[in-house]
Amino acid sequence: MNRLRIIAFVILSAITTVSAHADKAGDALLDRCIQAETKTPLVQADYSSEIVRGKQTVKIKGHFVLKKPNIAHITYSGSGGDKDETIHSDGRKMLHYMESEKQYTKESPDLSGGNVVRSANSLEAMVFFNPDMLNQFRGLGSGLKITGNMTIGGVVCQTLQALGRDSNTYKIYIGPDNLLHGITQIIGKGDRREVLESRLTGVRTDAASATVALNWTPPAKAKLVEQITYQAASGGSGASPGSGLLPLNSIAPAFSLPTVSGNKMSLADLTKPNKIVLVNFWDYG
Amino acid sequence: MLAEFKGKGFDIVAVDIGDDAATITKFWKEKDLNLRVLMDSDGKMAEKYKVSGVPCNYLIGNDGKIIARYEGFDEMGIRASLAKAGIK
Repeated sequence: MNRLRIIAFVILSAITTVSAHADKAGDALLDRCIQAETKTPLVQADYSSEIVRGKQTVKIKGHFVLKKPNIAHITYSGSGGDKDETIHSDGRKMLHYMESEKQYTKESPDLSGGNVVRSANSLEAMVFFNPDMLNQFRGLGSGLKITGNMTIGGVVCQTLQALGRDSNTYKIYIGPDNLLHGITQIIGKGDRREVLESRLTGVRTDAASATVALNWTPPAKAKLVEQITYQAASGGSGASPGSGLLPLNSIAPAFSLPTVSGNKMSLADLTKPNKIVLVNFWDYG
Repeated sequence: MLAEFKGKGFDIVAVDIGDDAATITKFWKEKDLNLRVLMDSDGKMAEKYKVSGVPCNYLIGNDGKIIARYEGFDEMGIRASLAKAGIK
């Protein structure tokens, strides 16, 4: 799904801050959506997306069960060589199962659903786990404007649109529940033009119906191919996962501290000559 | 581990929370460890990094972003993250 991943994240990098003309109603609608997404502990929905890039079209269908802060059961099937996948995170581990290969990978969970979002390539999932990211829409070229209605799976949604540079167009569809029901992104021109349409239908927020999916295990014959650990599940001074380290991909706070010999050293001193620095906290006292 | 990856774009720095230079030097000498140690005497850096127990490790990329973090020392996890970043 690498191709999809690129497109889904284009929106984050394409955001520019050309003098935005704020539309009060549009801003208020986005506020309500951020609040509703933040307050909703669980959402399940059918998912469909279509990505058109040049002459290529990739269609994906699936089902989402997402539960804050990092629990998910996502099933996908689609064209473009990405057949039948299951992404399952129970808060202790995340499994990514590929039906075509009868294989799955295993990761420790990201505290705020980050690895679910990366695996799922879905802005809708990203918004559910990190509603604040919607604020980035405000910085888009034209600012946010309500441009009309759009019916998605029988639900009448309001269209919130922003126009970026190079006639890039971003639309998000917000339902009467104030939740996100779909996204349209039109990015680039000519051969590089990409159109992404994704929709959530049958959106439900009641917990009971989702429990079966959240108890999923991979098929007995499936093979574990790779174990990825982002964070130790145990060890240290009884610290448990989820006890609140800084989020992944956030900017590490700057520091400048004396070494034992008295010279000062900053984070930049360390990261400049290196690709990766391990900062190891100890306490011998 | 440092010896294995040093010079390949990877470095380790230890941050000692709340000890003075003499204690730290003594400890490292006893353990015969050769690591760069920064002194976070007032614990402010640990607070900024929300460290609630030691050992606690952060992997930071040269863009300043947090690549991974671990409560405890997860060598397998760190190795996996380094491999992902192309450091072998």
